Amino acid sequence: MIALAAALAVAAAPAGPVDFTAQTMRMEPRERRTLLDGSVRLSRDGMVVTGDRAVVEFAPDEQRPPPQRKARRRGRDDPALLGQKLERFTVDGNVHVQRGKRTADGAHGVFDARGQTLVLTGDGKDDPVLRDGSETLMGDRIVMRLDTEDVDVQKPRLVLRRSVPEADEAPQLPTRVEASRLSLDRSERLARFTDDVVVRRGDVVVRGPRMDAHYDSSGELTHLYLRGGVELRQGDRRAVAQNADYDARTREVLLTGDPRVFDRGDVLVGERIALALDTHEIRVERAHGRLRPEVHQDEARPASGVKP
Amino acid sequence: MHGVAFARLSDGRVAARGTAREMAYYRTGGRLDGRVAVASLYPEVGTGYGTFGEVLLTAPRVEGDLGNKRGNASGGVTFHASRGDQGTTDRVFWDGPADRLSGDRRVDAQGPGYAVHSQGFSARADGSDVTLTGGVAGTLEPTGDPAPQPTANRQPASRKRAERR
Repeated sequence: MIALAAALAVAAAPAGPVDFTAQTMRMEPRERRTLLDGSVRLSRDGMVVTGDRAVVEFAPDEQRPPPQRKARRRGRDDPALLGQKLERFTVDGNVHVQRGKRTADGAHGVFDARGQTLVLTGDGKDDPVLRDGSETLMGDRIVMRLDTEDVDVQKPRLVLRRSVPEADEAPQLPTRVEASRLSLDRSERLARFTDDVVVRRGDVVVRGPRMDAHYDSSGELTHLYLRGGVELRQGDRRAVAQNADYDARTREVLLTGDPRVFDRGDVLVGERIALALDTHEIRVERAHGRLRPEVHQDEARPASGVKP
Repeated sequence: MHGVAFARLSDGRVAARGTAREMAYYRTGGRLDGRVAVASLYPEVGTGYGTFGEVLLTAPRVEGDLGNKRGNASGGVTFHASRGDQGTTDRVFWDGPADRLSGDRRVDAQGPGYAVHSQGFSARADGSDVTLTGGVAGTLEPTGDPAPQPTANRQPASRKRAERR
């Protein structure tokens, strides 16, 4: 995915100056802000942000003594032209971010100078998008860390295009992932999905509270690890377990932690249950359960089957 | 007139003062021509230019139309602020009725934590808004040191004593 977690780890760069260009620059000292308008381009430490317009907000005065008579309201700080400490940049309209091979697009972007983050959001119609090579990630809100290569995504919707190295004759089956939150740790080559994780690949749907996706050094997905109670559905088949490990190379899901498979009246329980997603084959270690072969008489004799 | 000194009072304080090597006043039409003008401005604290502190302006040529409250400075206008800001542009126009300053030539300015270039500018005379136009480029230091405290509203000590009395 998103070779995001790939190990192209670039050393975190120290906070540096922001270079900018625009058609016009309007300074409003009393509002302690400066407006950039028209083909705005901001660049810093290898990251380039473009947009239709931007607002530069200056930080409140820190060394001023507290007011003695009246509470200070916004805009009552000393006026600020340029040369004050910056608080944030807000970029609006066709926001595009480029950082190395990674790009992101959205309607609205906020660069927080203190938090060292760039938060990208949409306009209500289109969600912000993060791209890394051929991979695409969407979400309600994308938070890019500026001091590292990490990314947090709220309500991520992701297609793991590289997740399954399909055989030449097999059709492409992208793996789609949804969750409430995604955190990308580039140094660990890890993408951590949390809260209401849903993975879809073909007719397979897996749900769980948490999933870690691991990548190799070239950015290829190697494993998915679901923890905390997992449910897998494939057609009429349903499986539950505490844990599910998906091996992207073998395209097998290994269920552990009181795994059970329910398949049209069959109930299989074992120590470990392996499901081959392509062949529908199931292998159960230390199996016991209840089988009702008569229910399966309408099924064709496929390469699939149960191998206890 | 040669070796001219002038001061501008506003609300009981010196708002500006300066010198000019030559100054010609044409009573008919109320025109004023100056050569090698140097002016110090003392922007009020709390105004747009207040953060600069005392500002020193220089211009090889100054022309004014006092009747219409218009004028310009040309030949290479420079400003230096006590905060450390400095800038140059070829010429500056003053439009009194509109209460605006403007320029249509390249502007180069820099100061603590910033540098900026544009192809022109337009500003309210009180500095409540300043717009750089014609394509702007520059650098801002997000975590730079806070700017030094302005020394705006500086007045001659004798005047302050007089006011206290």
